[in-house]
Amino acid sequence: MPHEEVIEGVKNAAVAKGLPESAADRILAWLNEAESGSFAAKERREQLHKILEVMHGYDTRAQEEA
Amino acid sequence: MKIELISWQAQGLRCPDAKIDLCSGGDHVPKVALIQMPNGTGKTTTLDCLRAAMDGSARSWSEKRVLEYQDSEKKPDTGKFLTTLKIEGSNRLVIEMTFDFDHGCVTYKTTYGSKNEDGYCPPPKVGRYLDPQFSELLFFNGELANQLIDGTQGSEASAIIDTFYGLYHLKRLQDLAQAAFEDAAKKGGRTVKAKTLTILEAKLGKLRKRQGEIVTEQSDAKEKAAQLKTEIQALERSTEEHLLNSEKFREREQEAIDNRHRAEMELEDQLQKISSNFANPVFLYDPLREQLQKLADNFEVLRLPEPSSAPFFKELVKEDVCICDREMNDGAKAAIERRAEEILGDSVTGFLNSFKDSVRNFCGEACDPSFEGLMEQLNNSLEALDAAQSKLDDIRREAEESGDMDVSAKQEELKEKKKKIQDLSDFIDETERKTQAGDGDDCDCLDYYAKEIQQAEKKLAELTGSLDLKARTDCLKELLDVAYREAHNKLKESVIDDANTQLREILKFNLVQIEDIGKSVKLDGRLSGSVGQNLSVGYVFLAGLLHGGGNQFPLVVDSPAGALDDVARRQVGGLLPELIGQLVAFVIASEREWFVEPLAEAAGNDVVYLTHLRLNEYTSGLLPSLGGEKVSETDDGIVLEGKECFFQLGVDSVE
Repeated sequence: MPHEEVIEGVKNAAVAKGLPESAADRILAWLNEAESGSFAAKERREQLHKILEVMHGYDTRAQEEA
Repeated sequence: MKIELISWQAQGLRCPDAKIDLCSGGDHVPKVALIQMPNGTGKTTTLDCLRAAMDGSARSWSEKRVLEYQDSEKKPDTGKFLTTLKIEGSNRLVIEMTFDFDHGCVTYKTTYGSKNEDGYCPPPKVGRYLDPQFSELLFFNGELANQLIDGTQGSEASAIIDTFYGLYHLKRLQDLAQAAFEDAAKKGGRTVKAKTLTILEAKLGKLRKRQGEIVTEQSDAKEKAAQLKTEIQALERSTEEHLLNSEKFREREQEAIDNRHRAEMELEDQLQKISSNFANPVFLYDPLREQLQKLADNFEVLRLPEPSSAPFFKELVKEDVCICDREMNDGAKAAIERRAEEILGDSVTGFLNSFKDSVRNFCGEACDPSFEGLMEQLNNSLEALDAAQSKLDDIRREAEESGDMDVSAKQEELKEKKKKIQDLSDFIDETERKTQAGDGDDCDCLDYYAKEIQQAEKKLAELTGSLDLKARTDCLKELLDVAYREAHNKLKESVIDDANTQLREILKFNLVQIEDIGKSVKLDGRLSGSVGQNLSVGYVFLAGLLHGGGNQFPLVVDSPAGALDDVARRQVGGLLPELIGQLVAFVIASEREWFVEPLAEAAGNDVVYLTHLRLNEYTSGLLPSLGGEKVSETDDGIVLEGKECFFQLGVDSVE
């Protein structure tokens, strides 16, 4: 389990970025698996793609930069 | 998580064949295990193998390295190293390393409870703490504590916090995301001309490399500037003390110092007042008070809000007696209904009433002193501070001109250091400024490189059709950066607070405190402490991590008292058992004095004393005089248990 400060840091950062709750949840799930030491490489990438799905995409970033 | 080291056994390796059982065949794990191994007994081999057993790192050892561990006399085909750990106070984890000297490799076998598997496979809940980055912290060389302070050790002190609290996983996720993006970009780029991509990738590589160099240079510059600042303060203090001791300048120096101090205190007080009132707009601009009050007064006379107050009057007129205790007759009812209409407003009135109350409370009395008044006082204090400093500078100049060599030398050194710090500040400012027209690849502006890299990455993403993936990857990386900074800073603060609390308790008579943890552990108000103080800080820092949050890990220390004098040995010896749940210390005979007795006392005599010797003609001759209980004996090694035998081994007889 990630340390409570790491959990809080991820949640706060996700809120600050205006991302949905699932963003922090997916990142924390990835970190949890990574800490347990049993994370296979294939699964690591699959979980990463799930995280990227909820990140801001090109349209949102372009609007922010504009 | 609780991990304890129980025993290890070596066979066919460079160290003598032996079994070292820290529990003496029982179940209790002593708080302190002292293993005395004279030089040449294979201490380094033992420590290397213990660490490799715990973190599985021997799987990646080169053939050459593996062969270095072969018994040079017997030259066996294989060797073995077996390590037993106790997990959470009960379950045994046994890790067996087999050295294949013919093929130059090491294989593992892992036993946990009733499960026996080929390979290095500790259970996941344990494996996280046996990660190579983490296991480095469990094997401590006494000199490393010193290196934590002077920053000459391998890992940054700050990175140790990241390792212990798993913050490095945030970086790993960032790296994985970047690698995944680059893979996708490469695949997408096959339709674009390879040469175009190659040129752009080369440019990006060059920009990133220079950016990395500047970041390192900036960090070094900040460290050096901080160090110089401390040195300058020390020099200035030394100059002041010198002048205070001088008949000629003492009075004027003291007066100028007092004036400066007074100006500093006034300045601080004024800044405090301004800061605590800064959020108050009325404080900043007093005419606002009058205008707000005017606005409030101009609203209609206080009226009750209709929606919440009308039912009250409706119910009142139904009563037999009014709230003023008079009979509710027809005349009274009519009067109440008529008056109610007049004093009931609409729901907006509720807000207006609340607004008027707020203005009344908020504006209150005028602030004294006002913002303008405080700013004037601030300016006066700044002028007084400048004047006091100028006076001090004049006294120094006069002292220099009068031929005071000491002051002259100090002033010269001060000038030099101030010039250096100015150059460093200029460089740091250059790295931190915003980019401007005219910046090129020869500038040191990090903002320039960040923007150039961003543009190049965007171009690359456009060419490879991976803009959206890039945006998502960037979003994730930024989020992880923010999360890391927040978590790291909070954890660092907590580590520093806990360590300083311990240090206040332990170093009562020669207190030292930690100010910050960056590349090194920075001490408050000094560059370094005494040898004993530095070791204390290093041990407190590491032990705090190893025993934070209910965890317990063994600390294996090679030469815990090596370079210390008698005072420092007693200090560190008495300190270690208070900090660490299980200490396994490898010592040589010359370290016993002043160290072992306080160590044993602090551990409540919960100590196992083991003496491990390589058997040869000389050491075999010593055995009868040493006594002790033989707990392990092979044809080339012996382990004796017992305190008397431990102390009996002479300093000049074996070393």
